[in-house]
Amino acid sequence: MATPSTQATVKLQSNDNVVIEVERAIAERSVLIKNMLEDCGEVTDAIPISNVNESILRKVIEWCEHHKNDPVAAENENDDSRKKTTDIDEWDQKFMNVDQEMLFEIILAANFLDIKPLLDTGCKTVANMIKGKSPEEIRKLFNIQNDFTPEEEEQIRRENEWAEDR
Amino acid sequence: MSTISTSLGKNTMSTLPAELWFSTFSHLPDIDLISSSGVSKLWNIRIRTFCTSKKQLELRHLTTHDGLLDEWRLFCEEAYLSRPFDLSKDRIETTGEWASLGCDGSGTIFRKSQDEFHNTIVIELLGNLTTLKFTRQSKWAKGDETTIDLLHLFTTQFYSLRFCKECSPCGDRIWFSFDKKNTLAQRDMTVVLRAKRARRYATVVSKAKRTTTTAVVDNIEICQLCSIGRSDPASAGRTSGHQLFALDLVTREIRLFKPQCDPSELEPNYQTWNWSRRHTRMPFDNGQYLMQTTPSWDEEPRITIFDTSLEKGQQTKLQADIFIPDGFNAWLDEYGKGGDSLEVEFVRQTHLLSQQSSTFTSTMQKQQMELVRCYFSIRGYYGAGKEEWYKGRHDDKEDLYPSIVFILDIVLTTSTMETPGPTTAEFTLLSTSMETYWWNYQQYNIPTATRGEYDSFGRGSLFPSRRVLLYDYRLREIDGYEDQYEDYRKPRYKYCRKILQFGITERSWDEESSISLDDDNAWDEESSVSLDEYNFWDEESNISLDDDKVWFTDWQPRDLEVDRYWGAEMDHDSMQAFYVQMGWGESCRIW
Repeated sequence: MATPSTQATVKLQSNDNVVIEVERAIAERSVLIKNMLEDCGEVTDAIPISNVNESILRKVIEWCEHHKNDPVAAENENDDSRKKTTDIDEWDQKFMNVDQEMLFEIILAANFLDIKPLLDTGCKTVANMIKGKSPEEIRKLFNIQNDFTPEEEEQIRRENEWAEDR
Repeated sequence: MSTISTSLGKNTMSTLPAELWFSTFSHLPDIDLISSSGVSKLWNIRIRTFCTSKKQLELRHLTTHDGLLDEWRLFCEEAYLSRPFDLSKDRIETTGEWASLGCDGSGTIFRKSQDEFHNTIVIELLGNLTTLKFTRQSKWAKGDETTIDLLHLFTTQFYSLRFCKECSPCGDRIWFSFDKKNTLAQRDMTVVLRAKRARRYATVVSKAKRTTTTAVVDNIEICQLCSIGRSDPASAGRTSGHQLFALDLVTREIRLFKPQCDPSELEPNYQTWNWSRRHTRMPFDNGQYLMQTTPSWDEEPRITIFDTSLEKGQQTKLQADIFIPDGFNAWLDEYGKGGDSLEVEFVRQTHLLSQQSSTFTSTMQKQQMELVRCYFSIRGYYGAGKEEWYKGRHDDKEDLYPSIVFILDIVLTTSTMETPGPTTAEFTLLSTSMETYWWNYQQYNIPTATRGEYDSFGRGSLFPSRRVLLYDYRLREIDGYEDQYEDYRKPRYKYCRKILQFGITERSWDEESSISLDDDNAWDEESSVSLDEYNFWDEESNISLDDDKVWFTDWQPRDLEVDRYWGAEMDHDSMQAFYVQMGWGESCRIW
């Protein structure tokens, strides 16, 4: 491994070739970038973020800036309560209040860049969108075509019958 | 909270890789997962995959020491696998309150990873979420007894009931609840409450539909919820919404069975309730089951093979077959003394060709094939509830079980698509040799229960895959004390692997001592596949389905149960009733 660098900023290059300079500490919210910097030491060239376009990259950076002082989550956090809660910080709620396309791109970017808290927030947001909705409402929400045959639908309905009417 | 706009013509969810779907699902309560499974096929597959791949959670609330159940557990564990199992590690003393059993969300969720194949008494189906929570509805009437623990769960047969006469008929009350609004608890459940020290068992059967099932049980001082059982489609009516829970004793996973309807819907003469269900199916390692169906009381049993791991829509691809030995009645006249009902008892299975040795993968699918040899015996059976069960076989002079063991060879072929898609399985029954084995218990010093020593006794056997487990129970009336029983129904489980190790005495086949097959099933050397060719088995040579052999998805095997059942009553007409019978002739209506 290279010697730890004191480099203050790093350049990130989106897939539409826009270079954005950010504080290293902010960029290192991404485990991917953090590992890359640790492995490579001083990086003067822009780091290509091939899967993320400029608007999404800026959005992700915005999130990282806001959360730069957050404690790093434990590696193997497997707490059931964490899993089941869908509470989202108010700032994050506003941050995630974007159109669906961008929301999913943020999730994909967070996944690619390995930013677990952001990914978690994104998934929670989607989960909140799904929560309490009927299949039809979910279809409408995500513009999904119902590809079940009436028989299959009936079958599923019967299987889930007892869970209805809550 | 979110005002996220609706996607405009773009299905953005589908752009996420599977792991992100799962990550999203992990934030959803079970009820929403269930609901979401009806969105589309893709969602259905994703949710099912998610549910089945979830890690098994640890059992958090275990019981204080209980010798009887420990014995049973050890017995089962040893029988299943040599899996290390530390009882003391798993048993956590809790002095918590009833509420600690799960109203805080720490309910017990058991699941089994999909790739974990081992012998089990429980049928493997596509997973579903089964969250069971137990909430406290009321305080103990007696304040100083606050220790309530969740004992190991295991399946019980419908009507399973143990009771103990010396318990006081008036005692504290217990409330327990399956919170169905917040959980996926099945509406029909069998719950065994066990009184500490007193060994009192009661079965409570809920028939309430989608309501919070709360039962009050009198006469139990300190209870341990030690079993969550199942609904019995035969007794639960004809609706399709009934579901079955079963617990894998090895993984301690509760699995939710698919909804099923009453088999009588499919076959009017199906014997809907059979006291000896536990003997009537034999699980294979990867979900297929061999099962007996008895069309009616006086008809011969049939053996059907089916795959519980398949979706309902895929079942038509299955080949089920029926094996009807000829001349059972004559055989029973001689050996079984029966007549009311015939019973197939699966004894064991062996892999002649293991699954691993026959796996091959094409570009699109992986196909596994295994050749399994099943051993089973058939016996007569006296009517349910009669004292003289197994008449003739309890006689000192006779073996406990019929001495003829039949053999059935089956090729199981399972095809799995590389991409998410259906798994199919097909079965071929090979020629069945009618070699005869002697199953002689006395020869191996298996103790027999004799009528002179005990007033009542019984002997049961469990047949999880490739294992034979025997137990007996005895009831003795103490002189001069009417209705006082000692050692009442304490099962003395015996793990009888020894029988298999000793081997059953093989008697060479001869025409006279064996029953011939009827013409349709007659063994035909030319039409059967020799062992060498199994590896080259191809689809074309498979036997096609006949109409009358179409797989009926709703023929589900029953889970094995431990107990006999005595005296419990169920009001079949009133589906809202609970009955708990606490002693001889005493029953209390609970709901």
